[in-house]
Amino acid sequence: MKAFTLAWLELRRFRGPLRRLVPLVLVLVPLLYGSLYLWSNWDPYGKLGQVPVAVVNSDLPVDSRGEHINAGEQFVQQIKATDTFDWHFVDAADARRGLAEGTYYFTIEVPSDFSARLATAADRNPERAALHIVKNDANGFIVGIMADTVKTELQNQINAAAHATYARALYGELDQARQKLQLASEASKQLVEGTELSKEGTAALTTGLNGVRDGTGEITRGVHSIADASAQLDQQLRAITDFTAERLPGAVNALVNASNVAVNSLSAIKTTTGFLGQRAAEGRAAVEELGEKHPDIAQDSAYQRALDISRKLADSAATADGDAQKALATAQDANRQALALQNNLGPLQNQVRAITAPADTLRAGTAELAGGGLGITNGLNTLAASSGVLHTGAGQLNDGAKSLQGLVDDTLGKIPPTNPTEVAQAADVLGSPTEIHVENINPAHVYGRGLAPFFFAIALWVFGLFAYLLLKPVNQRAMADRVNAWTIALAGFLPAAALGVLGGLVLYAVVDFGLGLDPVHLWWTLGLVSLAALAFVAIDHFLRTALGAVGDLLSLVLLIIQLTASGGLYPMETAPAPFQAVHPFLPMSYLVDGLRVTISGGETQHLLKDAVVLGGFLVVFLLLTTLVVQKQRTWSVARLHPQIEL
Amino acid sequence: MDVDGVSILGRGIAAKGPEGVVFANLDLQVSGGALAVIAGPSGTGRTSLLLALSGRLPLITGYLDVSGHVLPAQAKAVRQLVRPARVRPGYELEEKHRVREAILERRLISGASDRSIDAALDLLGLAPDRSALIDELHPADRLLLAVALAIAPSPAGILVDDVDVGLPLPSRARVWAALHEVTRTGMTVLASAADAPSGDVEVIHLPAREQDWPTDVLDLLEEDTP
Repeated sequence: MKAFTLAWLELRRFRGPLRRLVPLVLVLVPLLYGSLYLWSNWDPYGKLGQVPVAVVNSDLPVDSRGEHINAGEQFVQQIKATDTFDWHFVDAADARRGLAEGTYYFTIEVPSDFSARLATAADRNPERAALHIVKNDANGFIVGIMADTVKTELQNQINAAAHATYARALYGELDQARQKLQLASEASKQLVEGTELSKEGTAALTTGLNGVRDGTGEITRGVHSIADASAQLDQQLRAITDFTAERLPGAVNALVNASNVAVNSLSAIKTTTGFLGQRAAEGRAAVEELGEKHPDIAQDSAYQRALDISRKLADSAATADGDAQKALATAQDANRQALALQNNLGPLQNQVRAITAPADTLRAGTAELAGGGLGITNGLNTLAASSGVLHTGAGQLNDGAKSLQGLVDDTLGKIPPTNPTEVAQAADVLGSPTEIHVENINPAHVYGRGLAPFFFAIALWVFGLFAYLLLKPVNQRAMADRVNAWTIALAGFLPAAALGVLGGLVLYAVVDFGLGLDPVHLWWTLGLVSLAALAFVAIDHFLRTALGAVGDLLSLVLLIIQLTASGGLYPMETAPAPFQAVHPFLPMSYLVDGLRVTISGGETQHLLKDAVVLGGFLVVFLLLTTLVVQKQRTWSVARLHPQIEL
Repeated sequence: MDVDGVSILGRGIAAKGPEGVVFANLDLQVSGGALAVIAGPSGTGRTSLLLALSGRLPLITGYLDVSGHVLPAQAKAVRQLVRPARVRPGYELEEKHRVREAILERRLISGASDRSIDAALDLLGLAPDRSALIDELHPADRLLLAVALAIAPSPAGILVDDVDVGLPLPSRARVWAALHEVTRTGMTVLASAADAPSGDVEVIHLPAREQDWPTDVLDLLEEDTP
């Protein structure tokens, strides 16, 4: 209980208009720090829509397989519909300049071959289309991380655009394949018709060959008849010879007449058989010629038979012709003998008349033979015609098949490959058809290096805050004496300034050698850290000189405001409006901006501006301190007995 | 070291701080080359009055003239005439400086020469160890060193606050004697003490501070402010 009362008594000390506020201010310190910090960083990711990002579409649309592919424009339309970032659609030069100057936090570039690469979807080796994201850590490190987190989202959007393009390309391919298949189908119909025609031709050929066979059979029979008749004729003639020898005188007259008739008849037969032999030879030649012309037919057994038969037929006809010739000669001989025996060989006349019958038979057989020969001719004619049809049909068949093969080959060439390796590769590309290349024109590489400017700034400010808790801002003895205000102000500033510069350099050395800060511009970094130490000390010196302990409190407030509004963490665009409004008036803003350039690299113009502004703060606050010192040559009771002291 | 010491004439002067009136309705007169002692208990506004008389604290009312310079208009000139040797709080020698550093500082801020500082030390009968810390000096020596450094550039007047605070009686006599010695150069010495010493001293008595000034008086005082 005693402790509580003593604690209460401690608080009772704070009496008086200002002192009364001390416990209240203490109560509000956590609020000040926590709420300001949280307020400024409450939802930076939710406000990325305010962060300006340049989008460059250098894509050249392509026409591939009848499809117009303009994937770059499609991507642009797609992201236009989103408010992930504050998109600015500019050309490449503007984007690059804006990125370097800090107008844009990063840029997304669609390269000129974007559509062309996506159009390779249906090719044997599809290629990935790439997008380029260019960051600049000189504009802040965390926004780069933010860009990375939305990279996936971007990739999805881009892939969606790519997949749409693919679908169109593939449907275009399918349509074309369908057209080709239609043509192939028609070609195969023609082929089927050709085959039909060829079948008919083959049937006609078979019929023709059958006719040849039948005709040949008839010829054979006719020739047999001729042979029989000739044999009979021979026998009869032998009998006539015998009879003539026995009863020659009586029959000679008749014989003469008869033999005349026989000679005449045999002459006719001879003519017929000669003609027949000629025709049979022609038939054989025709069949042979057919065989030569169509070697494929030559292999046909029916043809072989036909050839065989026509050959035999020709041979038989030649033999028959020979026999007829002999018969004619014999008959002529008999006629001559008959004429010689005419007067006394009268009785022979009747018997010789008997010869008429076999000669009639011979005539009939010969007639039959002629009919058979005609059959052969007709059969061969049919065969020739059929083979002509067959030839045409075969030609059509061949053309149709060729056309079909062309179409099928063509279509086949357009159907994606099925080689497992290629399929795997293509599936990989088609599954994720785009890749995002990220580059950084001024890379910080690691988080610490990216945030070093911010923490350097905090460190230097805290130094200024602490410095005048321990150092005396003003030499009062000098102030009461004959020293001008500027000298007094400078004398009060310099100790803290020197220690601040040293402190900054020590911090730099430890971070560089210990952690590997490795700034791009070493001397600029050292210079800027020193300049900022001077400027921050000047500001704290002024506050402490002018306001005493309240000045320190104010410096503390300024520290938290600068933590939240210097843009050291998130892009200022994501902070609430009041923070954005005070941002350009805060010295820490310029140190953070400048150190980003000296550590990660960037525009020297930025650096110059930052150095000038920090130098301006230094000079202005030294002058303000001078004015305050001038004014403080006169005391006030309040200053003589300050209510609050630190 | 011959100095034309400041003379002061004040009529109805008053000063006010955040917690109320520090002193009010005060008449005073100090002749040149005098040792004037503002006597009164601590907290009666002795330091404020010292500062006011040297043009270093604005008054809320009254007439104050220092050697013909009317305050507050000519405060700057008055500040040049009257230099503080010690004002508590705010103006004291740095305890962690060495004596030689205090001397160096004084040469820089007042333009006093080594010779004039040596002369001032002689005048006050001081021979401090130059390498000693101010902290280590006897309180009387510390005060007298501050006085010596103040008189070295020969101002027309000096301020010495809290002369008798923390000093044993023999030392007080020594300090007062030394301050008398200073006035012999013609310099006016404005001192404050709980008790005024006897002898050739012009004493300004400050009344014990009353806790509750009537509000109408305060209002009246403020209305009179030019």
